Amino acid sequence: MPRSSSSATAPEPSPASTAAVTVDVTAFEAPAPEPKRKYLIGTTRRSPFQNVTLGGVTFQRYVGNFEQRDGSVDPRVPMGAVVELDDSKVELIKTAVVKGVVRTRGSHHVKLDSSSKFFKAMAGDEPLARFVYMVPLEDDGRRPAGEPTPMTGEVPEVAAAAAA
Amino acid sequence: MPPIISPVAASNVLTAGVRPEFISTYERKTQNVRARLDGAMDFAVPSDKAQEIYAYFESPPHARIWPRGQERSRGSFKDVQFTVVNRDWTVGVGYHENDSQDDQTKSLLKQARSAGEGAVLVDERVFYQVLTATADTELLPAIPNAPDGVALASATDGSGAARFGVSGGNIVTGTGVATAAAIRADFFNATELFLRFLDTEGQPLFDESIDDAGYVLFYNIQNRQIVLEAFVQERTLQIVQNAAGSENVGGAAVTNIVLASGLNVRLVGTPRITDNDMHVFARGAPYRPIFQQSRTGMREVIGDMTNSDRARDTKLITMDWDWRAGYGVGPAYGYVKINN
Repeated sequence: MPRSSSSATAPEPSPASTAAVTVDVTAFEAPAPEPKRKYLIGTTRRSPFQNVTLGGVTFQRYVGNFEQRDGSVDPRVPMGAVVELDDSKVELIKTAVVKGVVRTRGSHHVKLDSSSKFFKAMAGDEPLARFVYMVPLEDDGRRPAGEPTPMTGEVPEVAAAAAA
Repeated sequence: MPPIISPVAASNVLTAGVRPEFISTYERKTQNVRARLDGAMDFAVPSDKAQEIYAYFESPPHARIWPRGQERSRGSFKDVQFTVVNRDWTVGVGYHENDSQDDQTKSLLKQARSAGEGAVLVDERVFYQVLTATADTELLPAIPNAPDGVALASATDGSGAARFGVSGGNIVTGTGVATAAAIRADFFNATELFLRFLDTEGQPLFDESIDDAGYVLFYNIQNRQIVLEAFVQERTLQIVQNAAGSENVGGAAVTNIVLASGLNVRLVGTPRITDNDMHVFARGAPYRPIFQQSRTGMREVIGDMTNSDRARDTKLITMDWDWRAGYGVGPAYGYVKINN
């Protein structure tokens, strides 16, 4: 028996079978992606902490293999790290850094949280912001010349003198 | 010219009749130092050179479908190298021979010797130096980066990509230490992060078996109460019945999810951590993130009348210890920092 015949006619689809199932998706709206910008971040040469984590982002003095055999720093290694951050992350970092306090006792340094219930300011305490920097870069990622301005806004020489 | 030695100031123990009951006031406690760091640091990785070069391969490609008629897929993988330099470490004391002879407590020698026993504390001090990335003129001149080019804790790797394939890398942005619930939530985020880590080919790095080996959590000892509340405290409210004892009128509080889950968590509170950050180490990771390599064992040198010109000239006895060791940061995938 032939499978088809020119005389055969296809059945008419019923209206119900063509109605696709749909749902209302207005409850879910994907937010627009937050624009990111490149920043040079790091710790200053005088920072008693080589690396500091703020708002989930680590401010590093150096990236890569920077240490020479005698313990000195390879002068070819640039300071800091270039990272991409969105505005909300930047705000998180700014909130975290203002809470940071550096306390020095002899050759020993500790990082304290001024929002902690145990914290009590003491003479000689310094803001952590004095020892970290965060500089927005142009899209080409070119680094600024010289030592970047710390997050206190002090010019680097002033910050260095205050930290000395 | 030999360096000037500041001898032990022993005048207070020379008094006739002085009693020794409190002589152990500052006796050094060196027991359990390495046990405290177990799961977080490896010790005595062998070394026979001035510096050691280590290397490992990144993940090989994973198998994939081979569609008929298409060319077979082949991948490659990179290798990574890092170096750990051995350094000299020393501790020494000097004391006047007369003071040793006249010491009424007969403990000067013992206390001097404990300086050498305390050498093991260098491991602990360096561990926390690396953990907190703190400059310390008595310890490492610089904090080594991990083999992937960035710090022990980092959101990105040396090439700027998300470290271990996860946004945020091996850092949990914490919710603070105000409540036990917040601490528990951050801790579970950390354990989940280990299981979210990807190898360099994008497949999960660990499986659930990493839970079996347990975790070590280092925290600021000032947060001890809230940390113990988070990890150790059991339910605080029992089922309350009515006066007749026939009906439950108050529900039991939920139990502690850490305890109930059976997760093995060792808590290490320390004054060496001074902020609210917490540090979680997965004992099941193949390698510890921080390690000590040992080039030479400890050598003890005692300079006295029999062998030292200085001692013969000055009656100043010296006891010195030295050894060679290096400290490195290995693959950091066994570590998560909770950044509060």
